[in-house]
Amino acid sequence: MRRRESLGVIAGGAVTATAGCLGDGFLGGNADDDQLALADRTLQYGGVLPLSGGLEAFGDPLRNGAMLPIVELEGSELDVSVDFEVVDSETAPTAAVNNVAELIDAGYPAIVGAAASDVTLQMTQQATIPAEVVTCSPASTSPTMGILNDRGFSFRTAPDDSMQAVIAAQIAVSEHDAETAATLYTAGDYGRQLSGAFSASFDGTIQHQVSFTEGSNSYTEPLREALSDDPDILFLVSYAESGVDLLTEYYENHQGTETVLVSDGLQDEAIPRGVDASLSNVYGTAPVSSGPGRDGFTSLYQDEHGGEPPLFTANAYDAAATLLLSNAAAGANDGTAIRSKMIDVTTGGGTEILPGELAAGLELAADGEPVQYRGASGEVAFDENGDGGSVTYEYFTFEGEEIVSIEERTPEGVAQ
Amino acid sequence: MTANEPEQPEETTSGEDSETGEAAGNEGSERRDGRAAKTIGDESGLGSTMRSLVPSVIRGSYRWKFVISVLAILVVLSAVGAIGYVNAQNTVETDAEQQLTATVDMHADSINEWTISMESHTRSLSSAPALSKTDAETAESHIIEEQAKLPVDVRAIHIVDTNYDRVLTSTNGEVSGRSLSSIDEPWTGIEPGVDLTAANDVWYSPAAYQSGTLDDQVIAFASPVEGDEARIAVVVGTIDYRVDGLRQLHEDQETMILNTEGDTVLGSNELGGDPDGEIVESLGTVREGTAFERDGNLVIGYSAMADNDWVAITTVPTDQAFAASSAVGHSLLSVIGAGLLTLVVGGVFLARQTVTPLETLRDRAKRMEQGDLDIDLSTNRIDEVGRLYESFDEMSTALETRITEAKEAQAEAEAAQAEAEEAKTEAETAQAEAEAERERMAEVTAELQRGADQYSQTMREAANGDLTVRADVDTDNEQMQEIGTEFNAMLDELESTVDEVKQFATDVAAASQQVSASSKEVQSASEQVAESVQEISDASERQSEQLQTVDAELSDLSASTEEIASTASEVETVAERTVDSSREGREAATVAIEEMTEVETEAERAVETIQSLETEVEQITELVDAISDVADQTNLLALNASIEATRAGEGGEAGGFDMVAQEIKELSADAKDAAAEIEDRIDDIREKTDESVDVVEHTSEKVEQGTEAVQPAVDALAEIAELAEDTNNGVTEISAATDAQASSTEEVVTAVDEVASSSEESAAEAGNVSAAAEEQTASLSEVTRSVDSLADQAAELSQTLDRFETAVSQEGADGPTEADQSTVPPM
Repeated sequence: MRRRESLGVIAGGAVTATAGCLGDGFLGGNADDDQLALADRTLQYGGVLPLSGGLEAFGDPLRNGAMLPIVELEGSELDVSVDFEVVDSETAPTAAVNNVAELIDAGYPAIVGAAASDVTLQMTQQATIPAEVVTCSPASTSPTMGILNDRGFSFRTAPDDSMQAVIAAQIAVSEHDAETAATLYTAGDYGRQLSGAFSASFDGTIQHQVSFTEGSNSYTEPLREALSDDPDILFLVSYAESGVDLLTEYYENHQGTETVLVSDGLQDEAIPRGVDASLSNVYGTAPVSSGPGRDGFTSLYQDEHGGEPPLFTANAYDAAATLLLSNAAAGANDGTAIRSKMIDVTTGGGTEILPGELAAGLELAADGEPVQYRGASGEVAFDENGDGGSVTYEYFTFEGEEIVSIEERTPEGVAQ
Repeated sequence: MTANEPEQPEETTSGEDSETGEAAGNEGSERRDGRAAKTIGDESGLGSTMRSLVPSVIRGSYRWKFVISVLAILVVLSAVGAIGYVNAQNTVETDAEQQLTATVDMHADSINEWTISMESHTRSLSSAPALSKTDAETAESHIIEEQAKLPVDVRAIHIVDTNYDRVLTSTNGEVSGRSLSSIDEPWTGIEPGVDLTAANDVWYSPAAYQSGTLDDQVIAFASPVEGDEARIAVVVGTIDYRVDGLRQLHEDQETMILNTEGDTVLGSNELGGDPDGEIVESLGTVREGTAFERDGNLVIGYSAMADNDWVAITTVPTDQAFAASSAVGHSLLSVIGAGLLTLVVGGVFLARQTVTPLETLRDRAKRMEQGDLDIDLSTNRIDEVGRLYESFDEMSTALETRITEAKEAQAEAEAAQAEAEEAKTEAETAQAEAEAERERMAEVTAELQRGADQYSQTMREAANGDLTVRADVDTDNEQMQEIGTEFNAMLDELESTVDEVKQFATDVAAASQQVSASSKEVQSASEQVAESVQEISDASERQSEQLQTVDAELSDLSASTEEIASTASEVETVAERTVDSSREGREAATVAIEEMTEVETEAERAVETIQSLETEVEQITELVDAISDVADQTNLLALNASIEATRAGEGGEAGGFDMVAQEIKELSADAKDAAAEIEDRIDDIREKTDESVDVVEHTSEKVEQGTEAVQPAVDALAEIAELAEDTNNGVTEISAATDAQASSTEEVVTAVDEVASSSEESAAEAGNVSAAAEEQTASLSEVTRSVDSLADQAAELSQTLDRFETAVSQEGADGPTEADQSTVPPM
């Protein structure tokens, strides 16, 4: 009978062992991917910014703005690690497409960038949207961005140019009594759209719309053509680098009685410094960072870098902040998840988070609590096209080597 | 005791009869001594055939039978398992094939969809007016916008200018403006008119190629721009996303696309194997259908695309494609193998379990037969074998016990027999004693009987009614003496009791007669009372009725008085109204008179005005006269002037004078005419004025008349008012009088009511008394009846008791003790 007992034991053992294997097979692999706590995660985001090329002057300020959240978090008590890497867009679409591949391959789920509208359009369509990476541009103002077929992955904190054109046209008539105008714009979507919108809104005669290529050797031909019929207003749409050369040539050879209205691309101290002329007939329009968090952001910027934050820096901060908040809310470095949260963290109601309160915001978002981010450059409420820019514009001029703001305007009667 | 035969194994092998021919379910029997014996249930011809076929070696050993049965099962299971395995393999393979074919079909559909959507994007782009004969700027702006709207599959859009063989503009800045020959892409070689014939024609590159900037496989689509024959719109779209998005069922599954000629449209470097050109051609030509083939260690699925001549091909390594079938097969085999193994092991084990104990039992049984009852039949098993062991054990124990018991019983029986002899002797002694006893008893019984007879006679006499008899107690038997004494005592008491009762009955009869007489008297008296009361009751009822009548009459009176009062009130109201109306009338009349007086005043004023008007008119008349005079004089003047003119006319200045004169003349004539007219008009006015005066005066007269007429009305109304007042007063008086009358009537009614109610009360009281009297009568009657019945019953009782003779009733008759002597003394 001992035999019987030993047989029984062996059989029982075999059954138990196989049951264990079965158990694994059926039940294993159902463990939920529990969200990691904020302290165990690294929040990743990247930047594609014009460290060289036509918008080189904006490269450093934009980078500073995009990195300011990291400085803010390091100064807070929140236990979280943030990973940021930036690549150069060279203000050229092809370069940006090639360089952003680096960030995509390294697994960054969200990117602040790019600055120029053409660059952003190509970068998103060729690289980031197929790779399901979220982008948020601080400075691409072209209206085309609003109609981009982006599957919800493309956002921007930059304002839409269609409104700047309206403001410029209104100013041309109300402040300068202009009846005729000509536009001179940098070739590309930004310039063309702004010039076209200005022409559509201007209450007078548009004599010429002339494009020029950024970085040419000579701007004589375009200038001559644009000023050939003595317009009252020359609406100049350009980036800063070529703007300096262009204005220098203008003052040497072509200046007449007209007033020059420049776009936001030329709201740069490089202009009064680089152009050896009084610039007394030059005025300009540019979007204003006028959000509820402006003061908080300004004090953060001044503590870190000193001086007034240049144009679009606040937008860059807002872009980085919303990307970080969405990342925390999504709970993973995954572009698709972050994409869904971008609108929630800016419009969903909940605790208000202003610049300076980012640490608290991240903690709440990671816990699943609703937050509402209110930005430095505007309310930053992303709509379904991903647009979150403000609608207030500044009418400015140059005095000596400084940019002086005359007044702030909101476009009237423009559908948002 | 005979040995038991081995038990039947549980697994029967009747199914294998046909296969192996060994012993079936029928039992074999083991013979030790060669005697033929009947086996259980073994009468069928089949069974006997079996037995003859199977060698006796096998039939003789249960173990062997068992082994062979198990082997048979193994063979059957293996066969069934093999069939199942083969079937399963086939099914799974067919399934995998179908799945693969379906997958490749889906891929083809997906890619087809992609090409169609790209073609339609190209077509719609090329029909945009912004591209036709516009400058590069406009075209570029448009295509950038379009590219933004299109899905990210669209890598680039180029507009080709065939007149200059260059790219007019492009979304890709590096391509824009370049000449076609400097670009190495298939769409640069399009010849309009050859490759693109119609306006909505779409050309596509025959194969996918690597695009310049990015590493994905793209296909170019081109369509001529509508309205501009020189321009072609080119859309470069990547097929990689679509292909990557295709669901791959297996790890090494690869998809490629060939066209009908067998050229690769979209290939994969990792693709192994050679697609069959014929299949590709046939599918591509028909543009419909799927195919499947196995090529060495690869499985290849083909599917044609509906809208072009491409064929999608998917290859999968065979072992992956049919991984399921191998898995199924393996598990099936392992199941069968495990089953067989277990069967063998189990069979061996079970056989051991069954055969060994049987043999043991057989040995033990032999020994028992030989008389050795002291054998060890213990076991740990509790199944049938164990129970068998137990039964054996019990049986041998039981046998032992029985034998022992039988022996003991025999010894006991002998002892019992000796005892029985003793008992018999004792019984005989006892019997003799009993006989003597019996005789003595007989004597006593006779004595008792004699005494009893005597007593019975005495009792009979007492029962008949003679309560004076007594029993004779002269007897030897103590008990009988006692009985006699007690019986005598009883009779004594009975006699005395009956005496008392008789006496009592007589007394009762006498008393009841007395009661009866007096109650009759009472009854008659109460009847009289009842009658009197009744009379009182009737009288008071009559009184009550009369009072009721009075009450009714008074109520009527009261009611009519109230009517009068109310009527009087109504009249009063009417009279007041009359007063009011007359007052109003008077006021109205007065107002009328005032009005008329005013009118009169007005009329007088009118007359005055008219009169003043007349005065004015007169004055005008005077003026007119004056004018007339002036006219006349002017006329004269004219005349004079004319004369002077005539006179001076001879001179030559006459004309002027003449003229003047003439004019003056005319003037004066006009004046005169005017004056005359004025006078006429004044006359008219005067006439009219006169008329007005007449009218006004007439009106005035009328007004006076009216005033006069109204006055009597006013007086009459005043009279009415006075009379109404009088009426009012009179009515008030009536009203007051009737009120007083009503109240006094009320009081009378109240008083009458009181009387009526008190008379009713007395009537009720009388009724009560009457009723009480009647009750009393009734009670008395009952009493009488009761008394009567009591008397009757007493008489009955007396009668009944007469039957009994007692010492009292028998006056001078036989003495009480004499009855004794009539009895018969007991024995």
